[in-house]
Amino acid sequence: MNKISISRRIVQVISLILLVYGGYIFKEWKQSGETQQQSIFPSLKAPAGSISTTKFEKGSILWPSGATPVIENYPPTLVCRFNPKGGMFKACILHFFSENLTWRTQIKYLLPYVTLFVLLCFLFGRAWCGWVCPIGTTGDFLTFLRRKMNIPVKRFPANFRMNLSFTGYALMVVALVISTLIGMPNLARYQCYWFLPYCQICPARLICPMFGLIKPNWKDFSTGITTAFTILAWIVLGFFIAAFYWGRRVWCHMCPVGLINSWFNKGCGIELHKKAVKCIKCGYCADICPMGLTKMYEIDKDAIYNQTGCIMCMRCVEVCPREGCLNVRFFGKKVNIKSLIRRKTDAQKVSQQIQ
Amino acid sequence: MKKFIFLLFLFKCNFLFCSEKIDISFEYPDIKGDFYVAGTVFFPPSSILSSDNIAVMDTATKKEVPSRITVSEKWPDSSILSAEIIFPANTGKKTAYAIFYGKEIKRGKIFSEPAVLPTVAFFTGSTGRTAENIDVSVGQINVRVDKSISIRYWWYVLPLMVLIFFTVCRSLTISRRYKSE
Repeated sequence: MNKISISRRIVQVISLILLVYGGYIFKEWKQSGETQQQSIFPSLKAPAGSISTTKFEKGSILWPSGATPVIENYPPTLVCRFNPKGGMFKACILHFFSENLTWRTQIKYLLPYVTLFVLLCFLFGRAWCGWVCPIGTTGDFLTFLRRKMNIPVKRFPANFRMNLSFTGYALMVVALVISTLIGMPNLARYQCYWFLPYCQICPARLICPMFGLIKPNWKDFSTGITTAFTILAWIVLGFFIAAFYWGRRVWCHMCPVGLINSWFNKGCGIELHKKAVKCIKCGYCADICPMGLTKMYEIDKDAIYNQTGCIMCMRCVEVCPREGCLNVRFFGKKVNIKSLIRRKTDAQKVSQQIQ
Repeated sequence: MKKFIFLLFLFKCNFLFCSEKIDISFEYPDIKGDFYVAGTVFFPPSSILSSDNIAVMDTATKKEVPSRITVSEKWPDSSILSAEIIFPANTGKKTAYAIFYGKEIKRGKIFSEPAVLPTVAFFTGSTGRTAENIDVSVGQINVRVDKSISIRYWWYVLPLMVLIFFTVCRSLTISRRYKSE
């Protein structure tokens, strides 16, 4: 493995431990930190008498299976409120919007959280997906298993990836619209069924508890709506598992949180530069990209090739045989990453990595 | 005898029709035996001057119930504005009660509340007919006091707008550079 990949794996493992097991590790600090939290970030709670809170009763589809988190905040990655023992952070940003649209929280109380989210995205773009997301780490592990089982990777056409992104956007919009509608007084009685609609089908809700050996709530057949959500959740989970055996990071094309992060990719601090004069059009960068992007191969001029779907894994930079052809900068300042691959001697290693 | 009966009838009529009536309601507690029923009643101005002009009556038996009445507020003309009323009841004898008030009412039965018993609050459906006040039962009211300074969290709009502005600018700059080259 190469330097960037090793670094990324280390960061992924540490992030997984912190995000999922933060509640175990920082138990005492959590208790003392709660009062400090409120002065910077206001505490967001369901309105008194809200039906939405009944969704979290034991046995219901959204039973969290965990305790309160260490930090009641919403980073731009698919962390989950269904982590065992609460985890490090409360939940993902989609959960944040969905919950507060239903609760009709005043905008001023949401501003600190939104500002922090935008700041993190402005700094790192979609690098959260490539380096931190625990679901992405799970998927990479499944990809590793696939390689070991010698199952060949499937390369999807561009329109298939676009369809997945469209599906992800559709799920996000529908979830937010439903969350807004059930927040209205006339429709509040439906909150017990439709609260956090995306969380009810998200694969993280079923995967994260298993990290703490806690049985997630696999099914809820109490009503027609909960039955429908249960079946949808199984379908999405099945697709998630199958997708990582099929290709690389297929789920990331569809993940709504990743799609939100991708809005910041082109303007974020991380810049991927190409020096076209050094490019020999070997095509390694396009072949190794887990998201199937090819812009860095196609452009023939010196340019920043940040793309919306890019998860900033920097494998293209790592695998490029020409030193200085592709490089990473952070707000214009070059990050010194040397490629360890020479085109003539290690072409075989590169082809193995493409798998 | 006929005159006596007629006078008695008039007295009843006075008690029933020449005075004002306030129906009261309350929930019987889950205990056996006696308990007290208490509450505050509001009266229109210039209606009654003395607590002796207020009486509690069992509407089923049409009999006065012993009560203790404490005047708490008065109108500018010294008529009673509000009074606290407490009277005994029994869970074995469930009935309806009403408060009668007026110049014609003379409270006959007073009790001094010797025992320590559970107390239940009563609610009134309405006060006497007046434009100055109306009692409306709205049930439980939860009051949330927002002590935060109203501008406190709005400061975050500034850095948020700055971040979004820079993101959009950088994105447009990168896109233009890519297209022009």
